[in-house]
Amino acid sequence: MSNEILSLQINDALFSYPGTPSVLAGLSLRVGLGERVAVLGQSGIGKSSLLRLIAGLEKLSGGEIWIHGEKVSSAQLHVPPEKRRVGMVFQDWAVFPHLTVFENIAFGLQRRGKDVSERSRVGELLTEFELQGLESRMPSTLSGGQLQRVACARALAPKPEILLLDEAFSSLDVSLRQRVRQQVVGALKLEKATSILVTHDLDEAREFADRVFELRHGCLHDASVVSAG
Amino acid sequence: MSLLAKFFILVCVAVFLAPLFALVVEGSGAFFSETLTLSPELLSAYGQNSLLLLLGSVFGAVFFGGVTAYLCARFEFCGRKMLQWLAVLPLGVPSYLVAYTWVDFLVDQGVPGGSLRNLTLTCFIFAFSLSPYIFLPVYVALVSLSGSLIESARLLGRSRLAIVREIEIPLVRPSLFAGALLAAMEVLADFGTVDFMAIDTWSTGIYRSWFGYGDRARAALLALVLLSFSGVILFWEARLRGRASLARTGRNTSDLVRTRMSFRRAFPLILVALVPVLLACVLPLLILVQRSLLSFDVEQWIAVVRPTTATLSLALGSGAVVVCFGFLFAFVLQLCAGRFWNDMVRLATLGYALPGGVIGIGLLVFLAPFSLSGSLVGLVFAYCIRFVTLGTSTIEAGWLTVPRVFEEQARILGCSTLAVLRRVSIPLLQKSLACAFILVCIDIIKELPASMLLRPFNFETLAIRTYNLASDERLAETAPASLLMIVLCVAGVFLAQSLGAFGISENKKAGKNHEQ
Amino acid sequence: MRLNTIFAVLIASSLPLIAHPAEAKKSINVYTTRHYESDQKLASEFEKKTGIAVNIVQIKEASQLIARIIEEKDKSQADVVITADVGNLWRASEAGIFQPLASAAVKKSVPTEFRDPKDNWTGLAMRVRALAYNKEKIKPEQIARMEDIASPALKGRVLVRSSNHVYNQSLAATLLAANGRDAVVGWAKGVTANLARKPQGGDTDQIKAIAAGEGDVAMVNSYYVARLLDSKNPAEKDLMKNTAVVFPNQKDRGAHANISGGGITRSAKNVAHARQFLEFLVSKEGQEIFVSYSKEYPVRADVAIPAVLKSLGQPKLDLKGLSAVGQNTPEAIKILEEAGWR
Repeated sequence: MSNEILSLQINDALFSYPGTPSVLAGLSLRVGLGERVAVLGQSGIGKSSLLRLIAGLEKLSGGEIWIHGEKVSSAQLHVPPEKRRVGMVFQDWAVFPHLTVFENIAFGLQRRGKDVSERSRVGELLTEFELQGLESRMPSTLSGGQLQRVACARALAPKPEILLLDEAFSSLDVSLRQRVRQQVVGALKLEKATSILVTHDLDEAREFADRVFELRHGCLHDASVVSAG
Repeated sequence: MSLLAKFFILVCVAVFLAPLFALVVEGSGAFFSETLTLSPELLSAYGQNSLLLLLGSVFGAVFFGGVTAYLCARFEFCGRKMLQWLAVLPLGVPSYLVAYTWVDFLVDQGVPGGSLRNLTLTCFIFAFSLSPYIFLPVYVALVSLSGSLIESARLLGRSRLAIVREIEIPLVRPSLFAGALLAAMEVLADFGTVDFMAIDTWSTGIYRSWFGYGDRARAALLALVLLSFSGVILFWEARLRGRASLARTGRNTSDLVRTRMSFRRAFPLILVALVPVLLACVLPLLILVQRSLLSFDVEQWIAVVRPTTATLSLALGSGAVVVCFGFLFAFVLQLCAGRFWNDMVRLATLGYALPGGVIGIGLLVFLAPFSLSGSLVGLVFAYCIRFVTLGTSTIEAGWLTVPRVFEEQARILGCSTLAVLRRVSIPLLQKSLACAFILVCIDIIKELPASMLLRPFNFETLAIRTYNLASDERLAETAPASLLMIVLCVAGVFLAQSLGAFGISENKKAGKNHEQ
Repeated sequence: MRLNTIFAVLIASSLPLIAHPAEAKKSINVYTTRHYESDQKLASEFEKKTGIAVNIVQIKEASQLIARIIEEKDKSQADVVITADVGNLWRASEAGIFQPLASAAVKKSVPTEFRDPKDNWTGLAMRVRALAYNKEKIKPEQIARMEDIASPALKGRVLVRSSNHVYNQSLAATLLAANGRDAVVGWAKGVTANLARKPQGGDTDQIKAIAAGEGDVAMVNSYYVARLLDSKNPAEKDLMKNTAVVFPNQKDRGAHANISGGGITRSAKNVAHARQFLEFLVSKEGQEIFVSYSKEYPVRADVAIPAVLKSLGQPKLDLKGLSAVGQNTPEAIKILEEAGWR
């Protein structure tokens, strides 16, 4: 193991849902600081489970997960999601319907962000994601693309170690998808955020990520060169 | 869950189980007592009556509630929205009042009383007054079924009836069963109505053992049998629901467009849908109004002022407490995985199936040593045990419509379990909480035996006043109290509906908005 | 949050209830099964006279009331317990919740047969179990005795309420004392065979059934008859047009009476005031309130009874049977039950 601190390190992860064949069978992954990684795979293969394991929403059956040099998951250990400093954008974005855009983005700042002035951080993100002027709108009045950006901004607001994107673009129109993706990648670069995108779209994966993997038979295979099956 | 949280929940469950435990202790004495008691033949007859009543009432309620729900969910006709509002109203009228007024009215019309007090009529009374328990969940389930599901079945050549049979019924079954379960437990726990209708049920057997023979041990034992029976149904229902995998998803469904139907074609179905509300709400109201006008007496109205304020504050205050516990239990069921916790909570919420008087005696044993009998604390506690199921199931049903990702997202954003509840779940559940609160309040307003047994000095509720006057055979004089009781309950139903609490208002629900 | 505000208002509105003002006044606490206007009037008159407030908890079922006192033990707040029917008084007495009345005034006012031999309780007022009948179809001689309603001549014509009710239970208990077990078994079977319909409803319902022609003779309580006769509602008065009332067993042991009575609890904190209250209830003034407000018979001889009761006649009462009612009740219920009298 190198001495350099990695954003994320997964060693031989084992995972299965009760009564089903194993989803992850000894999966390993190392992601450096500021790196963008994409994971490809057919639906139902366990891509989302991988992200949920990193986020701490599921418990590992074996192996280890380290985030920023700290062990967060093993068969014995489970650091709850709220203490992991990860951000996540779900497929359907899960923008809180009862909160305004501003309150949504500021949601994660209220506990961690004492050092960051809440208002200025939200302002920063509103600019980065081109959401100015929408602060006091309710989510029900926003378009899909706007909601997607709110979700990303919200996830990035507390400056997480890793941003997890679970098919975050696939609910958008094809025409919109590329533009939003570019916007998000831009913002990620600006934030120097480490991120992992799960998708079934090879082009999207290539455009988004520095490195692309494919999840097959519970393990990751380098797919930067070969085309996805 | 933290250790502290687990401990807290265990304590709550234990406190809720305490009166049941007192019953077990009391009931076990029955094995050793040699006093006279109900004969086995009589008991089996009582049990048989209870079963018949249960089946008849629940099937009736399912029929009327189900037809109304289907009609309102699938067809568009003149007066549909109105019908949706009306269909819930029988909730506001206690079934014993329906029985009192019907029989009084019919006997006055010259129908021999002897022909009225029978099992069939009693089944109808329950079927009508419990039909909202079926209508509400089934309607909501039907409306939230994906339209594309129905449309594809239609494209595959299924007739409307075939779709009902093959798709809609299987898919709404969990909601249907949950509603039917509440209705069944109401029937089992009822004493006032069956006593008045001269039907000997298991409940009346319990009362007879106790009041007639003065044999509390035997009464407790019979109560435990009733409790185990309800327990079995309850767990069976939970299992069934589990298998139907009513998983929490946030998937939006394409709304099915209601089929237009002319009023004339819809008329027969509308008639069926209107029967419960006309007979179990409007008719009793009219009879009571007529009676109160017939022997109008200002004194009688002045005399109900205090009971009204007492009833109202009691219902609102204890309603809030019951909802808090209901929320706690729903939270355990929703967010704390594990069969153990699930079963614990189901156990703690069994009280709904017990006659209030029986809960009362269990509580008495438990409260008296702390000088809490005859205090409001004791009463509130009794209501908690009796009605927490209603709160829990209502909130749980609401929780099922909130996509789990919201809570997961909140956790990832750094919220502890409590913060998730405070910042996400509770705001999203506002309507369900309000709905639970109002439903519980309505039931507290109607509650009689536990209120009577445990009440403090100089304290009278509308239900107690109504019962006392009715049992003194002064039905006309009950009119002010019973009218006010109905008005309060019906107002509650209206309030709940205008909040969209039952999920049947036309506005889009908040939970749906996140996907557009 | 709008909803939070609503919630807060709701909860606040229930506060006055919880913060019940502690009353510094002199007061006594009464547990009673009775819920009549007369009792409220008596309480308010007593307070007017003595300045002692009467706090009331009313629990309809005597068994529940007794259970509550038993469970509350020494902590019970009750000073006085009042229940209807001798059987219940006996049960309360057996449960040991009373202390001796030790009141000379009560002893002086109430004849011995209306008081507990152990001085645990005193009778307060009475109702008498009578037979109502259709004047056109029954001659009063046919039903001169309670035993007569079991006679085969009345097949399909007898109306009764359920044996769940204490009135029927204690009546059967007095019959047990008077006639013995076998006779009562035969009587209960006879009555059940004579029933016009299954036992149901209250006493007024039986009278209604006579008026409607469902049956010809019914067991009723004097109180309900008097109330109907005195009713301002013409429809109710009409019910009695064709119906007359006879008190049974006037030539032998007398008619069965349901006595309401009261005593002082063992846990009483205000024994003197409690005694004062019971003494007031049996005073001439108190008895007059019972009689005029709830059309009951007084327990003392010097109280005038209202015209409507007079019109029913002053019945001879079966007072010997009363002392055995409590003991006999479970057996009586069993007999009624086995006869199929629901």
